[in-house]
Amino acid sequence: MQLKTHNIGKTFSGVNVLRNVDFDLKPGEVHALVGENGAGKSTFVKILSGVYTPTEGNIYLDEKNVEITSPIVAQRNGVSLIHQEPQSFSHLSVAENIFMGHMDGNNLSRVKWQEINSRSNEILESIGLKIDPKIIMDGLSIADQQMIEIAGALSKNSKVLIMDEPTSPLTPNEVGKLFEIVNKLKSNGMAIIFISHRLEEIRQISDRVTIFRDGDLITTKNINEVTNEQIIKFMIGRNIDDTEVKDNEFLKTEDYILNVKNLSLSKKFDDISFNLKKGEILGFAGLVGAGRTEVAKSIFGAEKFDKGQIIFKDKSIINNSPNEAINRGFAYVPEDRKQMGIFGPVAVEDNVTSAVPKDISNNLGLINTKIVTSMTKDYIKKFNIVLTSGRQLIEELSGGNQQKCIISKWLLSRPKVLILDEPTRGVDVGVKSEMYEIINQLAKEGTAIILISSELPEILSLSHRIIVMREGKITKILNNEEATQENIMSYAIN
Amino acid sequence: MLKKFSIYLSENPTLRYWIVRPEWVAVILLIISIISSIQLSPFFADLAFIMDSATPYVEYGLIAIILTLIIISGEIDLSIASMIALTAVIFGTAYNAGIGMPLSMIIALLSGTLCGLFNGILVTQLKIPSIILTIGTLTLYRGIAQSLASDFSLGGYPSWFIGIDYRYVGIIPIPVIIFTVFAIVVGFFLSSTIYGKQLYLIGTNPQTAKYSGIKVDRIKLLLFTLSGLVCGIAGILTTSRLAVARFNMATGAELEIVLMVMLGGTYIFGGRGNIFGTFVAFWIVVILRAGLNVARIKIESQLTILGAMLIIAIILTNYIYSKSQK
Repeated sequence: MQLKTHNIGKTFSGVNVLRNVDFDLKPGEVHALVGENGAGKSTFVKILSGVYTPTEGNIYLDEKNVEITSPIVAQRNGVSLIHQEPQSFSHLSVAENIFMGHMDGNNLSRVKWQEINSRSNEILESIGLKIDPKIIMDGLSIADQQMIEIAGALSKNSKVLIMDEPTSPLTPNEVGKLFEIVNKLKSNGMAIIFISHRLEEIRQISDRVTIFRDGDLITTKNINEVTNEQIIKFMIGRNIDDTEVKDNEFLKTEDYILNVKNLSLSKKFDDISFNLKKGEILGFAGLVGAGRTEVAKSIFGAEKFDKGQIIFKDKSIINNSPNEAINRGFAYVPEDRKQMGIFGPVAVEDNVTSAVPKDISNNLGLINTKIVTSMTKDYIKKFNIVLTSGRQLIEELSGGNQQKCIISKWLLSRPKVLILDEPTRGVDVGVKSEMYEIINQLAKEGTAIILISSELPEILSLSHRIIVMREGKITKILNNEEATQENIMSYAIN
Repeated sequence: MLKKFSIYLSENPTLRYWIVRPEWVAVILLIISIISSIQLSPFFADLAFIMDSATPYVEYGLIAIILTLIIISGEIDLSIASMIALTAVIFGTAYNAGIGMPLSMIIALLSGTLCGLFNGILVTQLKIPSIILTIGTLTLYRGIAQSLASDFSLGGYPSWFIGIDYRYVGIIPIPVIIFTVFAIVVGFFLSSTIYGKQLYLIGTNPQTAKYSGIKVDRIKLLLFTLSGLVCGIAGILTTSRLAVARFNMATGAELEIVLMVMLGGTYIFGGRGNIFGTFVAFWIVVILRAGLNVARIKIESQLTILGAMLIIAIILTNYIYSKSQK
């Protein structure tokens, strides 16, 4: 089946995340989609598979205009999505998973087990998989679960298969097996969309590649017409903001406040070593899942580490809990604001003062509400936080204002090392530049800052040095002068 | 009108803070139960009678106050009634073994504390949901009490020990005074100290609490331990009141205690509630029970009325919380 889109666009609460996408997919083709996190490729495939409905534009299947309003409608039209992490019912059998949602019953609505089991067997054999359809899903490898999800798509007679980063949870061996199946499906006329960050794999499996950037489809090329360097260039081709990295006096010294040596945590990150000066902003670049957040959590004491050493102010330390870390002068602004950053239905002033219990109470533990209010007021003024009063619930504020509250909370604890994990995610452009000013000001005052961000312009315009991570390892440490979006991206990807 | 008012409230957080509070539901229910009890029987409007009716519930009330703290911090302890029975039986056994009153009391309090500590360790270290774990220890502790005492009533205490509910200051029985003082102290602790504030934060979002440096596990461990200790006190008080200790004392009391806490407007999922609400709810239960007794309504029907009240309180509490969130 041939799939075409014309002028597809998507807007989320006023923010345009996808614009004018004209895309085509031929039967018997593997078509790769690439782009940075947030470039719009996931939104696009979610529109094709019915998870989102487009704000504008049309989808054509075999030249016929279709409206894909839900995943079920997509499946009826022959479009199936294979998730990155297989979505299986682990306590049901393989056959039940394959036929989940379309088990035809007999007249009494009894499931025709024999038919389902034998058809599952046929499908599994057709893709060269030797699995008994009667066994329970639990205990199968992720690779096998993924194959079974593909088998499920085949059982629905899908003609278009969308695979969202299918190779990221697989071992190289399993990737080879997956590609065999993909090639088999392709020769049977299946049209396949393949999302991956690994350019080598894309080169190996796909016929054409389409590049997304900032919500636009940049270009579609035959894979043998472009080099990896060209693809990376297309991915990041926007103009870099012209903010300069700010120098400060602390950077001239050799005064390292933090020294991390060979830090490892099995399956999360491996052999992480770096050091950090007072007043330095150290950027952590990499793709989502590269292990940056995990490193930050281990340093902050929220998670453990297996091996390695953390030297803070010339002393070897282990933070056994965030409490110990905070007392030593660490602060961590988490990536997941709602789950780990705020106390939603609680007043702003109680949020802002939650990390400094000793500053707002006396020896007996009695809270001085006047101090709570005045401390909060200082930061409301300093950071321009928009609210009606300090007693307003924090969940009623906008994302940007919530983030300013969280930063205020950590500044109250007077941190020596401040870890910022995606500090400007979900924050509008105006607040973003205010946030950059705050970060630069803190560095100037001598705070050592670890900045984790998936936005390369942000990393480039703030960090003095940049650590690039890929799959749990540091692949490169760059000085700001030598760093470009191109070389960061190439270390982050391959 | 109502809509305008709620918009007005959301623009005035301080006013909303005082008005949109579920314990007002408890206060209204208390007034209703007083009025209807007086309607049922004119003899009811006698303060001394009400005070006397309150003493049997003081043991539950004390525990309800600690349970309020536990529920605010997002956990629950259902083994409370079994801990009353176990500590009472241990107390009776120890005294009958001839080791003297003070030592028996210390052993009873210590065993309650250990029971609570055991709950706390399993909840915080092994990360077992407290609702499941304490259903387990509910059975376990009651079982230990039964193996210790079998079907005997452990009695034979000195006369000075028996009948604490018949000692008064003025017309107020001593247990009621203990309860009131305890409620004021804990209420003050919860509303005005940093530790109280942290209980609300833990119950609202334990993850954020951990990342803010609050010692979530240690605080929860302390609360469960405290719950065990207070159950020990309640066990001794009950033994004094009944003059005997039996393994089946306070059977089913955990639900009545949870009822008090929830009737008082404490949110079962944690993060909200206060001691004032629980204190008012205690008196609702006392007055309803007494009023219904005076009106000669059978025990079975009393349960129906209490149950219905709890449902009403929960619906109103949830409604109010849903309003205060938006």
